[in-house]
Amino acid sequence: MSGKYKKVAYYPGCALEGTGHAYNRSTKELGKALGLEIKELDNWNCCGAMEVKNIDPKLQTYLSARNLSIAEDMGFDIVMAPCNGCYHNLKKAEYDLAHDQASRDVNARISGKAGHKTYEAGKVETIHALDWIKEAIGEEGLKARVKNSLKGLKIANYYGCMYTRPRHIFPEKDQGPGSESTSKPHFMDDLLAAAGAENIDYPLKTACCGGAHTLSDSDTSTKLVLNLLTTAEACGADVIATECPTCHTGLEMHQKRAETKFGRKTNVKILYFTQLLGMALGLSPRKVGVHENLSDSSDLLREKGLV
Amino acid sequence: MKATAHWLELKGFTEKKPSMIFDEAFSEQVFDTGKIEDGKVLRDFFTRTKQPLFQDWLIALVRGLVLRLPIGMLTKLGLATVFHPRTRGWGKAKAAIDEYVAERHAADARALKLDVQGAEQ
Repeated sequence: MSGKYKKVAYYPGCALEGTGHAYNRSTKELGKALGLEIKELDNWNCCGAMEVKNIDPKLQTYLSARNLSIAEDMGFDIVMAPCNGCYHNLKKAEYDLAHDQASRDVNARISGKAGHKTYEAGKVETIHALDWIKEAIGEEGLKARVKNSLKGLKIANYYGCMYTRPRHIFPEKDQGPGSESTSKPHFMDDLLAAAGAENIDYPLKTACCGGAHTLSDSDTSTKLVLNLLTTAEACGADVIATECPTCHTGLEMHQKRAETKFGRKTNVKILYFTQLLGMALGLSPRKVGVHENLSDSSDLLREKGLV
Repeated sequence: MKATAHWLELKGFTEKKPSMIFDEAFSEQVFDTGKIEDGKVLRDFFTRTKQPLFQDWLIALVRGLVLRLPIGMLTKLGLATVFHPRTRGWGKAKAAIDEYVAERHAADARALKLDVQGAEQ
């Protein structure tokens, strides 16, 4: 556990202000319940998500670098991004600015014309919400605070593809015991197990949900999501736990789309890991925004005594 | 593959793919305001690809959500539809990005022997 994660800068990103509202709410409530402090970046901008790099990858680097520069100006050396896309882009900007002169040139040029400081690699560390809870509180700390155990809840932990890929932008991962694994991530499993949940062995924890093409190639996304949902059910999961708003919304949207358009109904529920941990700490489902999810989990939560 | 597909589109050998249309609509919003709004992204994409906004599965999804009365969230999303989220003081960043994008387009066109309208010279 590390004291340096007790107070961090917070970069919610656009999704958490929109369809990922419940993730924003539950992350903040969970932090509060755990005595952690976050300070939202002043006047942040979109990191470019998965789209801007297809127009020009160096613009995506600039957009992420501007946010890192704000964190530095605010006096932080750690920024926490709960969204996999934002987390990935901030990490990638850090890598590109450290290794690619052309990226540094474009960043310096646009930052100069935009009238703000040019971010230089190495000033701010980007972490995910999973790192934040794992490092600041840890499993033992969580166990000591659990009021409403998740015992009896079978969970498939779904990390998506941007949390661990490409491996070279995550130098802190795969560093042996205690570090996160890029091939078989486990931080979410560890935290939810500490809250009493029964993690199932889910083979698709880093498979793609088709999030980037959720609208532009909906049928492919529906097929990818259906594969994730049916595999989770076949493995015995009650719930798929998520840690990314794009994956989460994609799973919810395409679960409904598969049912409406292809007559393929699945019953597995989809909840953010922050919602599950929040409920384990005694927060009400409403407090962690379960009613703001696109899919309805209330029956299962009642059945498991979490309501 | 993406680069090859993009090259084929630029040369006019293939039509622009829906994913490229989505990327462009999304990026334009980011370059204009510094942020995106989910609803506008969806509406812009459906308009550009001539798809109906009201699709069965979307209606079913929204209906299910509204029935659970997430008042705070609906209020926030509603306000964002009217007052689009934007980064304050974004004008200078937008100008710098637009200038850079125009330069890159011109360089790409030269490399592909296209005129500024994208037609082969």
